[in-house]
Amino acid sequence: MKKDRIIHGLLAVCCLSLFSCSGFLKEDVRDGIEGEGAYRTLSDLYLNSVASLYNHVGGYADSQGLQGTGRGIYDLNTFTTDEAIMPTRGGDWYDGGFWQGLYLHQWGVNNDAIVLWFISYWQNWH
Amino acid sequence: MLYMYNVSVPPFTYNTLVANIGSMRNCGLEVAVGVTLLKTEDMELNINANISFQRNKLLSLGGTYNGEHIGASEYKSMASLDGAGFHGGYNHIVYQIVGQPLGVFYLPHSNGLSSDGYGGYKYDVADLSGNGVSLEDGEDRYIAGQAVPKAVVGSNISFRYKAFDLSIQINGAFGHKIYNGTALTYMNMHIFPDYNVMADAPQTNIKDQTATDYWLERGDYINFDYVTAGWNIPLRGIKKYIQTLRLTVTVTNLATITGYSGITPMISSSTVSNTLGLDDKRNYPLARTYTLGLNINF
Repeated sequence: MKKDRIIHGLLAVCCLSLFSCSGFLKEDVRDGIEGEGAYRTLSDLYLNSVASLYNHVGGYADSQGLQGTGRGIYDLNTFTTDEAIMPTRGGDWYDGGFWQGLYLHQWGVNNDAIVLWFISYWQNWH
Repeated sequence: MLYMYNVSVPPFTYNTLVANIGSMRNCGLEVAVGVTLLKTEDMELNINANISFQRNKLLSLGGTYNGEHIGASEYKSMASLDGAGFHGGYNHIVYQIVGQPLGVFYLPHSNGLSSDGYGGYKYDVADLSGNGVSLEDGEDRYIAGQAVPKAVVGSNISFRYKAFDLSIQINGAFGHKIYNGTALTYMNMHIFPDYNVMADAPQTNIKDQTATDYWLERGDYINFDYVTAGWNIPLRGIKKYIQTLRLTVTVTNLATITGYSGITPMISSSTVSNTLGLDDKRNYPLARTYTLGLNINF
């Protein structure tokens, strides 16, 4: 009988503690938008999907951004085609053969611009 | 050894991870000697000298962390050329490579100069791999030396004869190389404006600025850091008013003995930085100063 009482007591304590926990796990978000709320209205949809892309158009250093800073995605897409060519002015703009390499399709796996752009892409918007 | 690795997300929560996986070996020997060669009432000669040999090797960089294989890239650039016309591309000079000392010159080999077909000259890059010239890492590049000196020496010599004394400090470093990026830039006649070049440039007529081992030079040097000559002026009649009177002449950075062709071989050769082993247009030459001193004790 005494053993039963102890077991019942323990069960009661367990039940009470479970009930008391349920309240504080509920999220009351004040500094952000909840998952479902983000795309509820047309303006929310615009702000949280299309408009936020503008944050990533530029960057702070070489080889960043959606549109691309210097040596970014724009340069990599443009100077590898016949659309544009980067001439050297004397030795200036030779840059270790970087622009020539893009035009002649001779870049390698360690090309700084491509590696940095890739890192930037995966860190920021993936 | 701690190193920051690029890791994948997931399984890791952030794309870089500082892990204690790699290993590096440092060993060396330091010898210091101090001798008094001569000591009489009139004359005294003291020589202090020390030499330290240092050897460093990056043994490994990578391994298994929580069941995931992580590692660093095989060729990691530490110091590169910079400035107009040298931004990016194949301008990496000093590398961190596993199995090598930290900071090695990993460069294309130049067989010398060859005609560019238009009256000028270019660096004749050797085809080391035998499958066409490529300046990529792992292709036509080789380990051409280390940036950190293998031996560093320092010596102080002091000599006294009666009331005159002389003290000299000599420093030196041996076994390392320096990349003369300044010469690579200003020996290039294909530069604008082409009058802002070195004196030999118009005659040599190089029209190329490809970074090869052509401008990699031995960095060994001995530098006379300072020389001080002093005279403790004998006081006979005026001893009553003045206790000591000393006249000194000091010259700092008196001379440097070196085979290095640039302004100074005393560049960043000991600390890991983005200028390690590079003389790249950014070094301000050391000044030689003359100091005349009079010391009076009343």
